[in-house]
Amino acid sequence: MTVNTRVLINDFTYHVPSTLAEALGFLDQYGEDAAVLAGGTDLIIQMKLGRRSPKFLVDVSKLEELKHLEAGEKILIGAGRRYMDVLPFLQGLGRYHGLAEAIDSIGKLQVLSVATVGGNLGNGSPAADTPPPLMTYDASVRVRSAHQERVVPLREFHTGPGAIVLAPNEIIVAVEFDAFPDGRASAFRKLTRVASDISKVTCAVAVERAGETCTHCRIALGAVGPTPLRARSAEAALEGREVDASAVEECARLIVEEISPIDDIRCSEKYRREAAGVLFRDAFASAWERAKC
Amino acid sequence: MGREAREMEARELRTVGAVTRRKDGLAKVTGTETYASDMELPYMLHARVLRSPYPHARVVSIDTSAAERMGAICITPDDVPDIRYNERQVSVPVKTYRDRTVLPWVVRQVGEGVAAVAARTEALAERAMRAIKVEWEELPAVFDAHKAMADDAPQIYENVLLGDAEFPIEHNVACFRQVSVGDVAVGFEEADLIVEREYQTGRVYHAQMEPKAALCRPLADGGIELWATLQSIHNTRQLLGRIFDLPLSRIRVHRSTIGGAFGSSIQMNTPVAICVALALKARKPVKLVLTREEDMYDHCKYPAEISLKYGVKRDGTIVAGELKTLVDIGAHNIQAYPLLGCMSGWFVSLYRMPHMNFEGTAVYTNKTPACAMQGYGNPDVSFAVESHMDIIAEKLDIDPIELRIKNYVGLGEEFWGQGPTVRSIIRSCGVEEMLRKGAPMIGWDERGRPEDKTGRYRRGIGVGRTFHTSGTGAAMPGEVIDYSTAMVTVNEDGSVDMSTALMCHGGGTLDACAKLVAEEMGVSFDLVGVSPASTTDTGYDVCTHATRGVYCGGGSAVKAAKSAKAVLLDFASRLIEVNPEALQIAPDPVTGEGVIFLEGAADKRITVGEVAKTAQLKGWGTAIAVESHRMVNCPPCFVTNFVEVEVDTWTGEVRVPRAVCAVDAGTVVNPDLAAGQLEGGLCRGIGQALLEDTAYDPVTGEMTCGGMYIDYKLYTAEDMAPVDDVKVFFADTYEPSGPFGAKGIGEAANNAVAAAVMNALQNALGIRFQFIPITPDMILAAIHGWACEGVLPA
Amino acid sequence: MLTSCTNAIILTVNGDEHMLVVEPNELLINVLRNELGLTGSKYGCGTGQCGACTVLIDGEPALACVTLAVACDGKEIVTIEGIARPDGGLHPIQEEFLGENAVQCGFCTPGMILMAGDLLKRNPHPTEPEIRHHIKGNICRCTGYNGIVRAIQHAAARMAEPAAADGPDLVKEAR
Repeated sequence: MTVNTRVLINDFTYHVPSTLAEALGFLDQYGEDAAVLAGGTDLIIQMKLGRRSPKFLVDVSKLEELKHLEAGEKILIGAGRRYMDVLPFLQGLGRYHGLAEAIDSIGKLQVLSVATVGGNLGNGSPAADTPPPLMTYDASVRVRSAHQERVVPLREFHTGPGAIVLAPNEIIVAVEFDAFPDGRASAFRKLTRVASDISKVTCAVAVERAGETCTHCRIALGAVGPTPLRARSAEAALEGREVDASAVEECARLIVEEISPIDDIRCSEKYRREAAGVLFRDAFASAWERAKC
Repeated sequence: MGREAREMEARELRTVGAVTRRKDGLAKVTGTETYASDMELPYMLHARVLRSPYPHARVVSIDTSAAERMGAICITPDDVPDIRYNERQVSVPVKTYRDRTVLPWVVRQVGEGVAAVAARTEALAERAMRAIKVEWEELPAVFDAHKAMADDAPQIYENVLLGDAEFPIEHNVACFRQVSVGDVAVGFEEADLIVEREYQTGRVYHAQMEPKAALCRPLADGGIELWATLQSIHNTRQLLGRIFDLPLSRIRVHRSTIGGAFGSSIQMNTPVAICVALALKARKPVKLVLTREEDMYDHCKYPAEISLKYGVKRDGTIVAGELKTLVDIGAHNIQAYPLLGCMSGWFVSLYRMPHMNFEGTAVYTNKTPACAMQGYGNPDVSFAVESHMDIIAEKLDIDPIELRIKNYVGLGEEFWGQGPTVRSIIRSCGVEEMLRKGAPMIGWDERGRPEDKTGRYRRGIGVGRTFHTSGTGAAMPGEVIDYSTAMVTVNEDGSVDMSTALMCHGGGTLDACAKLVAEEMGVSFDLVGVSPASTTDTGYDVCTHATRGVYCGGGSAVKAAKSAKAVLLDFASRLIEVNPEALQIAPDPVTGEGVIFLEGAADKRITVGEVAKTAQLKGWGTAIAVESHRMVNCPPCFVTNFVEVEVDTWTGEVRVPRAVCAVDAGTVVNPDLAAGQLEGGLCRGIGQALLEDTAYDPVTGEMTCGGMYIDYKLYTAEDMAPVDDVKVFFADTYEPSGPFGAKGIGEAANNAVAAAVMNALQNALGIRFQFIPITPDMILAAIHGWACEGVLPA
Repeated sequence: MLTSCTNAIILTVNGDEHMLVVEPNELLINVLRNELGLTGSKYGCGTGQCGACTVLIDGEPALACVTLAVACDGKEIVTIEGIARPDGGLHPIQEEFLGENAVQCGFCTPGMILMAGDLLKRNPHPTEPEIRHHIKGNICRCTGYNGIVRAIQHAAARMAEPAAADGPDLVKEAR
C-alpha cells in the first residue's frame, strides 16, 4: 500500500510560465521528467496513486495562447479552456450537441470548473468523454513544441490506453474542427454506474440527412477498446442509405463486431458490446431527429 | 398503559414530537464543528502506519533505522503489549473472541498494519514509513469462505482466545451457532408446500464520510487523553486500560463528533490502539487519520450466504422454517458470534414458526475484517425472508401483503431482540397499519403482472417489511451488555444540563434525549443543554449501537430527569408551601423557562430558575441526579418499504423512481430527523441492492477498487427519486415501556429495502434475483440468458 | 506573481489576505486546514470523488484535495467558514439546511452548502433535477439527499423574495 491520498509526498519543482514559449522551453529542457498541469483533476490523483511522479510541473493555466475560443469556418477550442467555458460557448452556437452533451455528462461541477479540454485529451483515457464526439466532428489536435507546430487528426491521436502521440516536449494547444454545414447534427450518450462516474461505454454520432437518406455519418465510441474509436464499417453501412429500423439495427450489429471491449471493474466485455449497440441506437435517434430541423 | 392514559399523555406532549432545529446544526452548517480528524494539539506529531502488501505473511524482520534517522518515532510489534484483544466490548467476556494485537507479527489481510511512525508532518511521516524495511515471509492465503473450510486450506489461525481461554480454530471456522425451536423435521412434515432458495448479500463498505481518526495526548502521570471516531467512549477506555495496563482513572476518552458511523466504530478501531502506542512512546500528542483507502481496508459489512427453507400450509400459514448461513468474516472475528445469534433472532421474529432451526457458520478468510453495519445481519435475513414471502405468495396465489399479515410476529408475541438470550414481548405494533396504508400509496393493486409488461422500460412494485430491536435490554442479563447512564442538572437560571456518554452519529440521538428531558422537566427544548462528555465525567454507557439511542439512552435520561425533578419540586415545596406531589412544571409560553405551579392556585407559582437559585443561596444544594438504567425490554421498531423500480431492459439500468417508507417507532421524538433516517436508509438499501460490494483479486488479495471511491461508487443526489415521490409516514403506536412511548428507528430503516427492490424487479421482469447487488450486467445476463456469476439459471 | 519555484504565495481566504510559504507539493486542503485552521473543508476521499473538500476558487467550485496550493497564488478562496453574513448571521442556505434538517453527521454539509450557493448564483430558480445535477459531485451517506434538496429549494424560494436582504452570491457574502 504505497498510496496516500491525503498528502503528496513526491518532490517536484513547480513552474507557472506566462507565455507558451516559456512553457515549451521548460518541456524541451525537462523532457520526460516534466508534466503539464492544467486543471489537475486527473494529474494530481495520478501522482497520489503513485502512477506518475514528475520532477517538474509546468502549470499552463495562465497561458493566454491556450485560451482561444473561435467560431468561424473552423471551431477552435483552446486546450487551456475549462469545460465550464466551453459548454456555454457550444450552447451559444446552438449545434454541436454531441460535444456539449459529453461535457455536460461529466456533470461534477467542481471538475467542470477547473478541468480543461486539453487535459481530457492529454490523459489519453479510452473512457474520456470528449474524444468520441470530437472524432465524429473529424477534429484535429493542434500540437506545439519549442521547435514546431503540427496538426494531428484526432483519429490518429490515441495510441493505446493512456497513450497519445505527443512527444514529452509537446503540448496540446487547441482542438479544432470544421464548422458544421447546415443540417448536420450530433448527439452523445453514455452509461455509468452512478450519475457522477467514469463511463462504462460512450457513443457519439454526427449525421446529415436528405429526407430519409443519411448523407453523412460519423460514429465514435469510448471505453470499448484500447483507444476511443471510430466505427467505420457502421458509418459506411449507413452513409448514402435510406434510414429505417433495419438499417439502424444492421449498423448496431456492425458496431458490436467492430469494437474490442474488455472486462473491468465497471462492467463486463459482454455488457459493453450489448450496451454499445444500445447507446448507438439512442445517440443516432437523437442526432437523426436533430438533423431534421 | 391503557388507551385512555396513553391518549392523555400524547395530548399533553409539548416538546417530544415537535419539529426542532438540531442543537449541533449551527456548528455543522458553519463548518466549525470539530470532528476527531479536525483536532489539533500543540507539538502534535502525525502518524502513518506501515501496512502489509500481502494477504497472509509473517514478518521476519523490521528495520526502522532509516525512519528513525529521519527523526520519526517508530513502533513495531516489539513495542506494543503482547495482549490479544477484541476491539468490540459489547458482549460479556466469556462470549468474546480475541484474535488481534495492536501490531501483529503475522498479517492476515492486505492493509494490516505492522509498524507505525510519528513525525512532525504527515508528509514526513509518510516518507519515514516508506523508509522502514520489512522482510516478509509470504504465507498461502484464501479468499473464499468455502475454500477456507477445506482440509487443505491455509490455516489463518491456530487458536484464538475465547474470554481468557485458548480456543482452537479448525478449518478456519471462527464460530458456529445453532438455535432451534420445536422440531423442524416434524414441521416440514406438516407442510403442504416447502420452498427452498439460496441468497447472497454483498461485502458492502460502510463508507461513513469521515475516515477513522484518533488523537492521543500522553499525560504526566502516565495516563492518556483521547479523541477518536468512536461509538463508545467507555468501552474504548476499558479496552485501552487492558491493553496498556493503565488504571481507568488515568484514561480520559472524549466524545468527539463523528462524521457518520453505520456501525463502523462500534468497536475500538485499529488506529486508536496504534495511536496510543505511538503517543506513549513519543511522549507527545500523536494524531492518526486514516486515508480513505486505509479505512476501506479496515472494515466492511458482514456478507452472508443464506440457504432458506420454509414450510407452509395451503392457506399460507407458516409451520416451519430453516435458515442456514455462511458468513465470510475476513481476517478477524470482531463480533461474528453475536451476529449469528442476532441473525437467528431476526429470523424467528419476522414470521411466526412453531418449528425453527438456525445454523450459522462464521469463517475466516484473508480479507478485510467484517464488522457490524446498520442492521447487523438483519438486511441479509430480511432480504432472504422477504424475497421468500413473495415466492411463497406467488406459489399459493395469495396476495403478498395478506401472506405477511397472516404470519407476522406481532402484539403479545415473543420477540428476540438480540439473539436467543435477549427476548421480550411485543407491546406495540403497527405492522398491519403500515402494510394496509402504504399499499394504496404506492399503487399496489395496479402493479400488474410481469407477463403483461412489454417495451424497453418496465416498471414493477415490490414490498419488504422488517424491524429492528430497540437496544438489547431484557429482564435478565444476556450475552450482551446494555445500560446507559445519564445525569441531569437544574442550573441556577432555570436551564438544564444533560450529560451522557451516548453518541450521536448524525441521526439526532442526543437531540432526542434532550427533548425527552425537556418534556419530563417541563422546560423548553432550547433550555436543555447537551454537555460535552468524556469517560471521567459520565457514567457507563455500553455503546450507541443496536438502535438503542432513543429508547435506552433516552430511558436513562428520562429517569435522571425524573429524579432531578423530584429534588427540584422538594425545594419548591419548601418555598411555596405546596406538597411536592401536587406540583406540576410547564414551560412559560414566552420565555420557555419552567414554571412550577399548583393547578388552579394563581399565587402558588415559582419559576424553576428561582427555585434553583434560592436553593443554592440557602445552601440546600443542587437539583441534580445521576441514573444508571437498564431497559427490561427491547421492543421492535417495525419498518415497511414499498418501492417502484424502472428497468431499462436494453441497458440493464435500474432506477427507483418512487418509494413509500413507513415506520412504527412508537412516539416519534424528532419527526423530520426520523424521516431523514428512513430516506437515508432507503438510499443505502438501494445501494446494497443494486450497486455496492467489495471484490478481491484472487491472486494479490487486494480489493479490486483499491480502497478508492474512484471505483467504490455511492449513489448521488441525481440517482435518487424526486423528493415528492418518496413518501414517509409513521404508524400511530405507543410503546408502553419506552420514554414517552418511543422506540428506536435507525437500523430498521434499510433492512428491507433490498428485498423490496428485488420483489419489484420480479414484478417488472418476472425474474427472481437472489444475489445482491444486482448490477446492470447481471440484469442483462438474466434477460438474455447469458451465464453470469450471481445470476441463477432461469 | 509566482513565476518559478519560489514558495511564497498569497491567498485571499474568506476576504483575508494570507502570505504563506508552502512546498510545491502541498495540497490546498491541507494548507487551509493545517495552516489557516479552516477545518470546515473535509478530506473524504482524496481523489476528487466525494466533494467534501469543495471550496470556491475565484468564485468557482473546486476540489481542494486535488488542488496544489501553489497553483492558487493570487486567488480568492471562499470556504464554508466564509459564507455567513458579515454581521455573523447565517446565510439563507445555512438557515434552510438547519430548518429542513438537511444535516445529519455534517461531514458533507460544508461542500453541499458551497455547491448550493454556486447553483443559486448561476440559477436562482433551479428545478429539482437541476439541483440534483449540481450537487452530484457531493456524496452524502446519511440523508439520502432529500433533506438537502428540500433545503436548497427553500433557500432558492427565500432568496428570490424581493425583501430578502441576503444576496445570492456566496463570494460577496465573504467578510
